[in-house]
Amino acid sequence: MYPSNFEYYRPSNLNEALELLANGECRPIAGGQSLVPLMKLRIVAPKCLVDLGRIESLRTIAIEGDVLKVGAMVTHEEIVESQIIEEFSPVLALTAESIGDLQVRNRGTIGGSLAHADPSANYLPTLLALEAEVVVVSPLARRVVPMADFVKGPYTTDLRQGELLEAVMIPRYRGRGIVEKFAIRKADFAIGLVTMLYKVIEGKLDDLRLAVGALATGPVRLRKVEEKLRGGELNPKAAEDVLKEEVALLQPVDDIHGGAEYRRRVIFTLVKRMLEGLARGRDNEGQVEDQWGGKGGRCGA
Amino acid sequence: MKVKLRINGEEREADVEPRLLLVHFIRDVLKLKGTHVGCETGHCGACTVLMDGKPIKSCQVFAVQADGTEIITVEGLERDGKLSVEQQAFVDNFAIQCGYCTPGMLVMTRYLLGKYEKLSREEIREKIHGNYCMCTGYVQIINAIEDAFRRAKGSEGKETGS
Ligand SMILES: Cc1cc2nc3c(=O)[nH]c(=O)nc-3n(C[C@H](O)[C@H](O)[C@H](O)COP(=O)(O)OP(=O)(O)OC[C@H]3O[C@@H](n4cnc5c(N)ncnc54)[C@H](O)[C@@H]3O)c2cc1C
Ligand code: FES
Ligand code: FES
Repeated sequence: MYPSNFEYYRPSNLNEALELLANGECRPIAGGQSLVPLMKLRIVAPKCLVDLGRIESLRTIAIEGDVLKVGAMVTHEEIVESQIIEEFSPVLALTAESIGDLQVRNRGTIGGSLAHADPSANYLPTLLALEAEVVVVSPLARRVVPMADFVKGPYTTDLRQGELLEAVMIPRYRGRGIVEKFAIRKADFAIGLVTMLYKVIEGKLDDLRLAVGALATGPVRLRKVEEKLRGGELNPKAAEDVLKEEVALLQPVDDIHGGAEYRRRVIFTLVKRMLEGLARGRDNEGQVEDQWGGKGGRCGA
Repeated sequence: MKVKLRINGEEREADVEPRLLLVHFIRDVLKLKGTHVGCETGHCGACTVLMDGKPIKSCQVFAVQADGTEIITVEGLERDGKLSVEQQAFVDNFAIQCGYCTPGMLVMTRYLLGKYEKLSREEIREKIHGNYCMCTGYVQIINAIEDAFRRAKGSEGKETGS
C-alpha cells in the first residue's frame, strides 16, 4: 500500500508551519494515525505534508490559572502518563487511556484527533462535558472556539483553510468523572461513548454533566437529564423517562459496526448503569468509585 | 529525501521518497527483514518497533518522519549471537506458532521489561492489545512475557490471574 507521492516539510516552529500551509497545497500531519491510513488507501492524496512533529511549542502541558492547556501535539499516551493531568483532570487521562492501543497512543495526538473529528473519537464527549475550548491559529489571528461549536459533524470541524489547532484549554472541574466506551474489542472505535461529570454535596447531585459521543452530529449534552437530576437526591428512576426521550432524539452513527437504533440502546443502557452505580455508591460516600467494576467505570476526582 | 537514523545501535542513512513507510525502509532499504508486515492498515502490530524507546507501528509512520530517531527492531534484541531474555522466554514457553506476530510481540516485551518492574497477566493483556496473534496463541505469549519478567527481574514478575 503506497500513498501517492508528496513533498515533505518539517518546520521547527509554528510560524514556519503556518507559512507552509498558507497556499492551501499542504496538509498538516500530526501523529499520522488517521492520516497515514487514509493516504495508504488513497482516500486522500495531499500534494505536500507539513509535519508538526518537531514543533516544541505544541507539546506543552501546563496549568494557567484555573485552566489546563494541552498542546495539539501532546500524544494520547502522554496524556495518560502526565502527572499534571492526573491531578488536574483525571477524566481526560481516563478518556485517552481507552483510545486504540499503546502503539497508536504513542503516536496519535489530541490535536490530530480533534482536527480529524472521527465521530467516534474518545475525546469529543469528554471535552464537551468539561466545557473545553480549542485554540486555533492562522498567520493573521488566533481564535478560541468552544468545544460545543468546534465539531460540526463527522470529520467536519470549524477549522478553516490554513488554520492550525494549537491547543486545548480545559477549565478545572472540581468533581468526579466517569467515562464509558462501548466497543466490540477494547481497541476498536466506540459504538457508544458517554462521559459523566458530577459532584455529590451532602448526598445531592451537583453540576451533573452528561455528554454522549459516536453520533453523526458531533457530541451532545443530555441537558434534560442533567436538569432533572441536578440538585436532587440520586434517584436514577426519576430520570429514566427523560433519558428515554432524550436518547430517542439522538442521531448516532449508523454503519456496519452498529445501527442507529442499536446504538441508542447502548447509550441508554450506559447512562442508566452509570446513574445506578452512582446511586448505589450514595451510602458510602467517597467510595463511589468502588461501586464500579472494570476499566470504563473508574472515576477520577 | 535524506533519512539518517540509528537502528539497533548502528548509524544508517539513505535517500528515499517521502511516501516510503518506515516499515518498508527497514525491510527493503536497510534489509532488516525481521520486522513483519501483517495488515499494513495499522491494526495488527506485526510491524512494531521501538522509536526513541517507545513502541510504534512502523507501517503508520513515514521513514522521513523517523529522521534523527533511534530505532530498535527484533534484530536488535540478541547479543553476540545469544538469544535475549525475551527471545529465550518465547522459545521455552512455546509462544510461537507461525511466528508472524512474534517480532512485534518480542519488541513489545522488550519495551515492557524496560518500563515496568512487574505486570499482572491482566495488565500484560492490556499492553499487547495492539499486537494481534492470528494463530491466537495468546496464552503461551502471555506466559512467555510473564516468564521474561521473572527471568529479568527475579521471581517478582509473577502475579496470579487467569
Ligand atoms: C488501530 C487504531 C485504533 C484507533 N482507535 C481509536 C479509538 O479507539 N478512539 C479514538 O478516539 N481514536 C482512535 N484512533 C485514532 C487515533 O486517535 C488518531 O491518533 C487520531 O484520530 C488522529 O490523531 P493524529 O495525531 O494521529 O493525527 P493525523 O493522523 O496526523 O491527522 C489527522 C487529521 O487532522 C489534521 N491535523 C492534525 N493535526 C492538526 C492540527 N494541529 N491542526 C489542524 N489540523 C490537524 C491532519 O491534516 C489530518 O487531516 C485509532 C487509530 C488507529 C490506527
Ligand atoms: S503491519 Fe503495521 S500494524 Fe499491521
Ligand atoms: S504465532 Fe502466528 S500470528 Fe502469532
